[in-house]
Amino acid sequence: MTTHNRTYTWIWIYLLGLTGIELVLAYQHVFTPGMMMLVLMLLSLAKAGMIMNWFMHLGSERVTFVLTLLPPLVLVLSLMFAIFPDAFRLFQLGTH
Amino acid sequence: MMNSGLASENWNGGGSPYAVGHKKLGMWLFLVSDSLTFGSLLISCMYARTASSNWPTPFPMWPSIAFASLMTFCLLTSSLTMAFAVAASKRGDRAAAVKFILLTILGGVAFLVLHAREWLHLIDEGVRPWSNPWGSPLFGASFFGLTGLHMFHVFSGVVYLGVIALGTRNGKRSHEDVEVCGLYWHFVDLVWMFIFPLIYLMSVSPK
Repeated sequence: MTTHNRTYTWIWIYLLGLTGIELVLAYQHVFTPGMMMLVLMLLSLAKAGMIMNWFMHLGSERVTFVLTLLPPLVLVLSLMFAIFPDAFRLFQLGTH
Repeated sequence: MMNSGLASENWNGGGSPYAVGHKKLGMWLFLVSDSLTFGSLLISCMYARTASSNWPTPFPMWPSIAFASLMTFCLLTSSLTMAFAVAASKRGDRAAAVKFILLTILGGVAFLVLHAREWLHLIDEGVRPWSNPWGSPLFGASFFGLTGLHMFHVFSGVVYLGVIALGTRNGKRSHEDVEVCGLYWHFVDLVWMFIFPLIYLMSVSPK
């Protein structure tokens, strides 16, 4: 097995491990829903980072390329959260 | 002709800033825009969930979460075999590349079959895009919308992989085609890494 394939296999094992952690958290109902969402999103971001860096080998592309692709994506996705506080407001108004 | 000669003399600086082929650049741009499609669906799903007091939590650990975990395993493993396929194609070992692409297709098909089973199960329980027996009617729209779009991506990916596998076997497809196809497949896997926790793990039914 080549060095690359060994790296890929380790990434696969890590990804499965992180998924396992998520499953245990869900099974045990450790956190409140809000906290759970935050923890799951952080774990998912870690997994997405590993997939992009190694499987999609973004880490070995030019920095210019990465800087063209990722910051606008992060910015636009963050902007989508701008209306999110409204979700809590509706709930607290008791409109249901 | 004189004008174009002058132009190329005056504006021939820069060269290729990204040092990637046009196919790879095109695929990455598509994936970034596709991330926004999935991002908006996931965020609106989270929004609807946060804003409603009766969001259903219908998934028991057995069988729903167990099957969804198995689906995650299928996709992750197919990503691994895709990485192997790209590495084999890079070495110039076309037979191994085709073998690994076929294994990737197998993972994708297993995912589709398991997911179709899950859909039928939920439809059988009375979940519709506009209503469900448990609570907020938006649950069905979110679930079918998100997982349906993702399933469509997996299905398109399986077709795409099939085309690339055939082309690689015939020697009509280059290494770059395999690599670009790999990018698409890994992205489909990446998106599932967000859908699985948000749709399934956030909605595990209480013990």
